[in-house]
This record gives sequence, structure tokens and C-alpha cells, in this order.
Amino acid sequence: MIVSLDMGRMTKILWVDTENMMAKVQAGIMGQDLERELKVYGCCSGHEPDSMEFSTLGGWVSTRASGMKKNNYGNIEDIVQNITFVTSKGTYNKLDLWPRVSNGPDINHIVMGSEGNLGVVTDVTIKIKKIPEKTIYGSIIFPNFETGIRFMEEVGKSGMWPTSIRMMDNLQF
Amino acid sequence: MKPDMKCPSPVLNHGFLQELSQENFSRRSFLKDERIMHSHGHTLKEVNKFYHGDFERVVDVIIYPSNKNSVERIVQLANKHHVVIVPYGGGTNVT
Repeated sequence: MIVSLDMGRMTKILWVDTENMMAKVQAGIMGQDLERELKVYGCCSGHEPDSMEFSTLGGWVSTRASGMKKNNYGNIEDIVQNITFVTSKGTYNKLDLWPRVSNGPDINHIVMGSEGNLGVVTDVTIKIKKIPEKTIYGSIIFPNFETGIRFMEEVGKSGMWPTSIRMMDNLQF
Repeated sequence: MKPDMKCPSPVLNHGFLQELSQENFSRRSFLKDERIMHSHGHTLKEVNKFYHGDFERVVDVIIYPSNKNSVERIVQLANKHHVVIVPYGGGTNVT
């Protein structure tokens, strides 16, 4: 028998710590809802996958998700601080919230990307950031695609990365 | 999905369901459409099958836990009765 465990009723933010800039959130919350609820504290997770209206925190952990603004906020492995993971052998989580520990392998990295094969993510402690004061948009038009590619290469090597930069041609646009 | 999309009757593990009913968890569903909706992600192949074909196997029941303790209990019961669990979030996996 196959049971689908729909996490849609576990969507609460359990606590927000604006001193240490962390929040503990249940795994069923969707991206849009998470950002909206963190906005009340003047904070955001900054994780913006294209699926953020539908995808959940537990899902991002399970699939090593990436977001459009990862240049600024990191991918999910940078955002995750702690995971509560229910497995057949017991419930895993770290006992402390140190930003980084040097001893021992990081079990979080076995949980992340396990795609529901090893257990169920029930809640995640994430790093949060203050909502930026300004959001500035820009666009550059290139005479041809090749010039655009060369530009992107230079930007990549320079380390001067905007929060998000995407090159498109008319077809994709 | 196709209105006539095939969805076989659920495979039932009565031991599991019996113990589950004693726990008074929130809603569990055996509805055809709900089972189909919880049985796919968003890879090209799955989406194509969803619109034009049939799934060979869909989940049998959907359970909606409300807290960590419920999840722990469900996993315990699933272990005891050899039931498979597939966690479901947004169903948007593309790999």
C-alpha cells in the first residue's frame, strides 16, 4: 500500500529570531506564503524558485532546490540551518544552531536531496535576511546573442554578480 | 487530465488502516482525483502522461498530518505494517 503524506496542513512559522536572523518553519509552507509571513518581521528567506507559489520548504530541502536570487541568498543548502527529519529509525535533528561546525560529516547534506526516500522533513530552521531597502531592475540589449554570451562570461569571472542576471533571446522572451 | 483516466481501486493494508483510525488524525482520502493528483511531479514525461495517458500506479491513500508527532506515529505504523510513504509538498519536482 502506498501512502501519500501531504504536508499541506503543516504550514506554520514556529518562531522568528531577528537577533540571530533565523526562523523555524514547518515543512509544508509554500514559498509565497513564507515570504509574506516573514515580511511582517521585515525579513525574507530570499529563496525564489520559479515554483515558489506551489513548492514547499520540505520540498526544497528534499530536492536541493535553487532560487533565482541565490547570488544573494544562497541555495537551499546555504539557507538551511537545521532540519527535523522523521525516519524509520527515529527523528533526526541537530542539537545546536551553530552556523557551522568543523567536526564530523554534516548529516544535513544526506537529508538534502534525498527526495523523500529516507524520511519526512517536518520542519526546517532557516537563515533569514532583512528585506533589502531597494530593489533595482535593469536591462541591457545586445546586438547579437554571441556578444551577450561574452558579456555573461565576463560578469561571471569578475565576481561582480547582480542578485539575479538572466540572458534571453526573443524566442524565450 | 483525461476525464476517463484509469485509476485502479486502492490497494489496502487493513492492519495499517485499522491502527490509523484509532489515532484520530485529520482527514484521509481515497478519492480517485486526489489520488491521481498526488501521484505525479512535473517532469515532461509525467505531465504528458497526465494529459494524454494513464498512470500505471497511483498512491492508495492521502493522509494530512498536522504536526510532527502525527508524522512520527504514521512512520511508526508504516514500518510496522510494511506500508510505503511518499511525502508530498507542492508536487513540482522536475527531476
